[in-house]
Amino acid sequence: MFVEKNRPLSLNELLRKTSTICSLPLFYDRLNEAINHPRSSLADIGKIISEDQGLSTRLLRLANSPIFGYHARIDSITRALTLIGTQQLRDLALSISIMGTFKDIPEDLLSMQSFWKHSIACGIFSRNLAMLRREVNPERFFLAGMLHDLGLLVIATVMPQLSKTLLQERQDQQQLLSLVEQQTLGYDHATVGGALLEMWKIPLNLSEPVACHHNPDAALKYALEAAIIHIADIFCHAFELGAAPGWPVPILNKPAWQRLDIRLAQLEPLLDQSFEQIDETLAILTEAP
Amino acid sequence: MTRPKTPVAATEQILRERNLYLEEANRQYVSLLDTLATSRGFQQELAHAETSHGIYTATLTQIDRFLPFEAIGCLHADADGAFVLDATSPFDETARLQEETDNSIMNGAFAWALDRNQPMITPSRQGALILLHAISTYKNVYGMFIGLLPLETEHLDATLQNVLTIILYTAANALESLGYRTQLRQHLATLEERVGERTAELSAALQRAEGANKAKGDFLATVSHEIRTPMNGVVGMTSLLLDSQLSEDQREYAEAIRISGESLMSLINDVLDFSKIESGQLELDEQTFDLRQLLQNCERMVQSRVKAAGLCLQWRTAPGVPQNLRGDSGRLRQILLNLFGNAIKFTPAGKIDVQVELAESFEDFLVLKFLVRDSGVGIAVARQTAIFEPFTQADGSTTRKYGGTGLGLAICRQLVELMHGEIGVISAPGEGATFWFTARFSYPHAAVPAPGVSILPTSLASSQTPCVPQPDIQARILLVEDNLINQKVALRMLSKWGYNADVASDGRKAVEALQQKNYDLVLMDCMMPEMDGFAATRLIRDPSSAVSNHRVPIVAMTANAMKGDREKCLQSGMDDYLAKPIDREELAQMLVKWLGSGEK
Repeated sequence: MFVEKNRPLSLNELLRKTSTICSLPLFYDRLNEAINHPRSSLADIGKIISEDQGLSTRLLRLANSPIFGYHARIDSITRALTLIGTQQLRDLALSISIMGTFKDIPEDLLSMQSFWKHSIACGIFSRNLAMLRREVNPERFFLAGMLHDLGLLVIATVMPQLSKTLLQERQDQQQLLSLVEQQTLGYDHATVGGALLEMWKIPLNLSEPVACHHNPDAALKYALEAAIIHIADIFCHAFELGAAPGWPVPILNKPAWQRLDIRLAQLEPLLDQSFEQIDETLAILTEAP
Repeated sequence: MTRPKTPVAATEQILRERNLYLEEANRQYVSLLDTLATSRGFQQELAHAETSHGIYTATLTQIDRFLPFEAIGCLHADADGAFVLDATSPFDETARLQEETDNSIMNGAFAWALDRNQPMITPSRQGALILLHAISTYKNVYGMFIGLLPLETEHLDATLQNVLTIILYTAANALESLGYRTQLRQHLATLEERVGERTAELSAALQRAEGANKAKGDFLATVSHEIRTPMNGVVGMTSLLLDSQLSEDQREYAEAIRISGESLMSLINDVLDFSKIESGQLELDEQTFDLRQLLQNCERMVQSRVKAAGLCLQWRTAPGVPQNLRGDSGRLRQILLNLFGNAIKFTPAGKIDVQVELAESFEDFLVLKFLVRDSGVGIAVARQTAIFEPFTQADGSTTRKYGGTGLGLAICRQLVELMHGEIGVISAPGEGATFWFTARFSYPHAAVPAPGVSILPTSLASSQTPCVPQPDIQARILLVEDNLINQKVALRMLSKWGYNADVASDGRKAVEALQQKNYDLVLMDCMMPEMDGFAATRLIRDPSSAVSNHRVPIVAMTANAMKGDREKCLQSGMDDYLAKPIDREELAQMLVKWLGSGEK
């Protein structure tokens, strides 16, 4: 076991340990390089994705799901690349493949079904909020939502015993998990998630919102992104999507809500649309292809 | 057969290729950033564009610099939600772009792209790749960009796509700004239009008002002339009547007529003056005059009323008050006579003291202060301001007792203000009143030895026995007057002093008379049938006319007592001016002035 019950790891120790157990999906760097290179073709990019059969199948199912709602069938990765966009598809691919990176967490410690439901719901809410604002590349927001609680998986993987205690404390004390973590570890899962993404050289426009999703005021460069993830996370808790009924809902950061510049009247159709998309997306990403 | 590479050589080969690959990517980034950084012209064109077409054209030019399109175009979303191809490059590809647009609308790609703020590439049946990108901000969709790529295009790298997104987002923001600017301009234009309308209305109203004012001025001139002519007869004849043998009753009646006539005349003068001042028609007429002579004249003009009221009027000038001044002596006399009149009217018994002081003196002008002190009924402090307002007397109840229009002091105040002075009163009920005013005068250009100049030291000048004209009865006078009654009035006045005068009933006859005989003085009416006084005077002064003495003194006698009349008379060549109705004292002064005191 990695954990000594009485001495929690420091953030650096935790990250160092993490790098030996799990890493960024291999295809990501290659894909990124290909889509940014002037001389690579769509076929080159498609080939990188298609190497992972499971990934491409899920990607195509996602591309043909109601969250995109393209009028005709998208039957190849190349077609998906042109219609959805290369950067967009890259971010979707990472969202999907990140789910396979943390597989060894015991079900009695953390229900992965609930965890991913929460993450996907957060991703869908974030994506729809971003689309309402006509932000460039909404899949980036889906990815950020998917990754927002990544730190939780890291802690559970590296320090399962401590993690169990923390989760139990949340339940018993009706406390926010991040506060419980702060008290015991001196840092919380948001900080861990952000730090891991940074270590993986994921751009700051993803790592900062993840690190600040409980404290969007701290986001210095990507305040809007952080605000969107923060609000989406609150929606997930409020509607108990992948969250147990007893968990407290994080406190709304008012400046973050104001930053979104969205009228309440716009919210209801957005929520209705998101609820439909969440279950379908969950099915696509978790069921065997 | 190629020799199998050693692992090291293979790694080296891979690293070399990778290095080339990264270098190429790097060059691309640097070049794109460089082009973006130098796209200030694009920003300027956007900022100055007056129409959305201008913005689309600039945007297409900018995109051409970055991306290898075959043809590009911008579609503008009009108010009905229809997309219209607004700008294309090159222009001869317009039809093709239109066709591809229609196709993409039909197959749903257009709607799909509109929903997303990123490039969407789709192959077309016509053998090209279509790139669609919405032109939108967070709030609004403004249009759609369409670009045709060669079918063999394998991939637009992410950086280029991002550059396209940046350019189109910039364009969308420019369109949004343009919308705001247009709204602002429309508001401004509406505002200007309304200001214009108001200005036009105002200037029309002003023109009407000016027209009305001119009509009023003309009316005043006419009324002035029409009233003064008969009044001259009434007043003149009455004074002649009073000089004749009359019974006690007859004298009383005639005296009543004279007083009524004079007060009517003064009322008319007040009203006309006030109208002139109100309409801004009154201007000061500067000439050099002798202050003491003026005071003397004033004293003489009220002498009979002073005596009749059993009062005594004295005047004196303080040391330092110059003999000769430049200013409007006529208006000064008017103010003084008004104040004298008031003092007489409101003083049941006692005396009236008049004093002139030097208030201030400057290089170019001096300010004199005139004080008229009476021992009359006085005025309560509360009423002291109101009495200078038009149509006001100190007490509403005094109006009937004392008469008058209540315009006198208002006129005085206006005249004093024209002379850059102030007017006021110091008084208490029962303790008399001291009316004072200041007025600005300039120094005469040269000393003017006026007839009847005072020989007393300037500092000690004061009231003196009034001078009675001692006329030169040999003098030949020509009276030019069309009105028979006024002829009679003037002739009788002249004959009272021992003068004989010939009469001409219009300007033409006057000129004929002057051709036949030499005269020493011509008394010339201005408004006459056949030839008016101005024309006659010009003819007399004309050296080529048959008149024997072109330099004969001509004194105008006119009922046109309006602004500019004096100038008009002098301009036509007359030497002096008497306003009708003719005042005996003034006529006497005039005779002394132009005929001498009769000692020759």
